[in-house]
Amino acid sequence: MEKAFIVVTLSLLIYQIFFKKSFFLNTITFITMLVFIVYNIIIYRHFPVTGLFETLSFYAFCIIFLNLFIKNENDQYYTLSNIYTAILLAFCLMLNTKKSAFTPDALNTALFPLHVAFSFISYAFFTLSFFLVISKGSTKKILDMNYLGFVTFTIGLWTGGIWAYKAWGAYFLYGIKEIFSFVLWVYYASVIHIKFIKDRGRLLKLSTIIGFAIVIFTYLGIGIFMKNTHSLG
Amino acid sequence: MLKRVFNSTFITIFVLFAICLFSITGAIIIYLNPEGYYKIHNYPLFFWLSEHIRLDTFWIYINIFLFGYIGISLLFCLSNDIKRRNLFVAIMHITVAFFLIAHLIASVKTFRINDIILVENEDKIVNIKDGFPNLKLKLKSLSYNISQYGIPLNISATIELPDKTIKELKINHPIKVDKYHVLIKDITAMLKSIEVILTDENGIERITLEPDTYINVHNYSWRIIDANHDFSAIKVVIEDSKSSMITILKNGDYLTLNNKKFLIKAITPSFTQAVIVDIVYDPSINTIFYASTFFTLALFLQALLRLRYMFV
Repeated sequence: MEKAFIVVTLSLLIYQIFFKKSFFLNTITFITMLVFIVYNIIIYRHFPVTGLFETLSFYAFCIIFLNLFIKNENDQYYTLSNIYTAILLAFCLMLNTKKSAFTPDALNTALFPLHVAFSFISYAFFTLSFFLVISKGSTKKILDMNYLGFVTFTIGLWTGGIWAYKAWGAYFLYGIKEIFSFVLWVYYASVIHIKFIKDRGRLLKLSTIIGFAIVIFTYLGIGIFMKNTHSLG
Repeated sequence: MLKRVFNSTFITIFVLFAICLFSITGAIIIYLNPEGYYKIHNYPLFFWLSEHIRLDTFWIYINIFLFGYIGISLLFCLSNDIKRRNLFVAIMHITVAFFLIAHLIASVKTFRINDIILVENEDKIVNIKDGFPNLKLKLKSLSYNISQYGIPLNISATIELPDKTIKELKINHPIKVDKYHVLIKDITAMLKSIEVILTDENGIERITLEPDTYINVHNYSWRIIDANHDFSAIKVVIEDSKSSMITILKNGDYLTLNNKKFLIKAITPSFTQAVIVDIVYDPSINTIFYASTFFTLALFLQALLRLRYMFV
């Protein structure tokens, strides 16, 4: 059933990539993913952000949602972000949706969905900021996207830090995922300060591209290929 | 000169980029050599560094130096924010400064003790370290459910504290005892005794062996040395004043003692429940919590105020 939602969303995205882009179609795509998220919450009784399938689909959902607010950008931007979202969802189709019937004690806290949801919202902001750079979008929007990504990532880290202290007795561990999350925060803290520099254009664009590479490595590279406390399994 | 170096946004941005670069290097080093950093969480950072003088810790020293620059730079930023009456940014900069100070304190004082086993209804005195009072804890009761996959869920332990008060300890719910935080990691079971049932023509005999304890049976002293994972076989030493023999008792085997032959009918272990806990001492945690909370709040409120100018 989950994959049916993904197929519908994917079809809508492909239609928008090849034929017609419209706010209406984007809204329908968003509603399909929203129903998918709500369906998962009802069926599995947890916020669907555990494992690779759920996190990828939630990441795609965040990108679709944020794209509803980005207006007056060039066609290339929408096409690129739709292609990227379609790739994420196509990847979801290849994954097993089977979930464990129980939630471990450590995940039984409100901090868990908050931590993961805000982290993925921030990843979506950083991703869209990257596509704005690639499609030669407005500098102001790139700055805004990086700034909002930083705000949401900070909320994600704050909730994660509190949760980690309660569960592990340490808000920070010297592990690859935790250090990369710290790097991401420091990195975007510096990126949002670029707006105070004269001749910021090139530095901002370059740092946004590198930032996106760090985001993808932190999420997928470390999550899938490296054994750590946040492995996606 | 000093002001030009520390009050430069350009330099600050590149110092932050440098921190990222060295931290990425550190993350890769730790990933490739986790054993080298195995105990880093157990000791204050500076103490750990003094005990591990190695080349692969260079990134920590460089980051400390770079954060020193950021700390001073923050003070200049703060004075600028005050001049410009930029409240939210001032709060953010001052909370980051507090955050750095709290980390400095943590790097000198914070430590943890791992994997303390509290056995049900047994007093446990935990030796913390020199200059710190010991901690007396007692597991009064333990409850949990087992999932269909054999994983314990809803773990809840009641702990008696030194002042005889009882507190409930759960996963994600550490308890504060004196200056320490105690948090539950897992549950386990400790061997309480093993009952060996022997039979001969005279009937049944039950022998209850306890770990590290000599039991006298048929004028022999019995003691457990080892057991296999399912307790179908146990290794015991059976001795008297003249002789000592190590023998393996196995279900269905025969044992000869004083020229009498016994059939080993059953070996039944019994266990006591226990919890595995960690003890953490972190005097900077409150500062870190409030600093990060005020930082996040100020950032969020500033974003809310700016939101209407965005996406246009």
